[in-house]
Amino acid sequence: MIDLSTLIEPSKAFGGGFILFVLIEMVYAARKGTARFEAKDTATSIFMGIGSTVVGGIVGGGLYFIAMWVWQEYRITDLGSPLWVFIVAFIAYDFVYYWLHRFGHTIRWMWAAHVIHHSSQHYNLSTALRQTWTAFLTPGFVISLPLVILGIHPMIIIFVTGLNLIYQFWFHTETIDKMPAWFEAIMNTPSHHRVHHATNPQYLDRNHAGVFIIWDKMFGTFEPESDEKPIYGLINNIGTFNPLKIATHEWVSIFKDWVKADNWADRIKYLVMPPGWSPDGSRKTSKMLRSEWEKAQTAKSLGNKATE
Amino acid sequence: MDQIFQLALSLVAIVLLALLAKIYWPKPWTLDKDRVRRAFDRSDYDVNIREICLDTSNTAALAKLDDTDAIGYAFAFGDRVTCRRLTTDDIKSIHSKENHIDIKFSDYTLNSRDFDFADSARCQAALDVLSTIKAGDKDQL
Repeated sequence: MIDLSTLIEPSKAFGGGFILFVLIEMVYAARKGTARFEAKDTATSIFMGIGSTVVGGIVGGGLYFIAMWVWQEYRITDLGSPLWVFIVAFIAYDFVYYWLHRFGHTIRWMWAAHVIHHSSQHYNLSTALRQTWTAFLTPGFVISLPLVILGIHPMIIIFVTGLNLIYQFWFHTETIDKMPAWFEAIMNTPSHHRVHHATNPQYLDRNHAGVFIIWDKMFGTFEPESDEKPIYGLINNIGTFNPLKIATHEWVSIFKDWVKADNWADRIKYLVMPPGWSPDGSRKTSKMLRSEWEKAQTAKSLGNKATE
Repeated sequence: MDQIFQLALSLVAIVLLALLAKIYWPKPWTLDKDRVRRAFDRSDYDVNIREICLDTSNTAALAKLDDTDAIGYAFAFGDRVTCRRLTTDDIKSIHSKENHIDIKFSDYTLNSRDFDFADSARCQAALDVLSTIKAGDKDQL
């Protein structure tokens, strides 16, 4: 049994390490030309990371209180704290994370919080630190509660969440091309996650995994990195380095849509439908963009066959 | 106290890393017509650009499109390019004086932009681009 009172949140303990690795990547990239950093972009990303930690510190206590209440009132069993429970919790949380992340891209309410992480047009280790400030405004937290009900103590979930976050840091890089094939097959890697951050139509809303890429393979959202170089950022890129605007821009956008909407059904859909949804279909969701791209590819290949 | 120290240390780290990035990648980023076209190819692959007007700083451009309900706007954002397809609803006001145009946008992350043009002909060309989206009712156009 591991004494839960001795557990620390790993990602907080690793804080200085994140900065050190950004520094190492920057120096390496400058010498080898493997990546680019931009001063304001880097500063903004790290600032967003610090802001996320501060917000987490403020609201985290409240969320822990809720989780403990669920634990005390609704747990089916208590699995205790032997090492195997930590391993099971790590894998189970990664499964939960996959869905949390997938919903973060397909439900606009959750996208409003997650979009921050995708708002840089760069992809380097500093991008990993560009984290949300507003996740507490979404129902994302609820998705983890079944693990508590199934008997995993909230402290263990917090611990494995931290480990999950640390794992996700290293693959935000263009400096590493591909990992060994066996590793690429099971684990999330820089190559898989570059696809996730890309706005190229064929890459949109793909590779939502945290640690294990197998979830994407199981649930049909896996896309390997092809010769098509990823273009990072958003479909509609932001035009500011102001952290407050970055943190809130999609919320403002939702609010504007709410004001314009003339019925409650549309207002609810603006929250629960995918980003890009509009009542008149004048905007495009990722699914629509990919579908258009696939049709264009098919037409192109038919054209090529016809000319052969 | 410990948390305030950590926060201060983090802010120092931001400044140092940003400075280092500036030292390693110092070149200011500018646009040219090819870059604007490439940027639109990536962000709005279905647009056809007919004409591009770059301002004197070479960091912002207006583009006339085949689509007459919209114009293109591209600007250097750090070392990347951000593009917008603007309709009349996206523009709050346009002020023009001598070789200068000031556009205010209805965009939370992009409030306004001042364009300076080398001469009146180029400024007029940019105004012509703006007029293609039926922006004639905007201020002082």
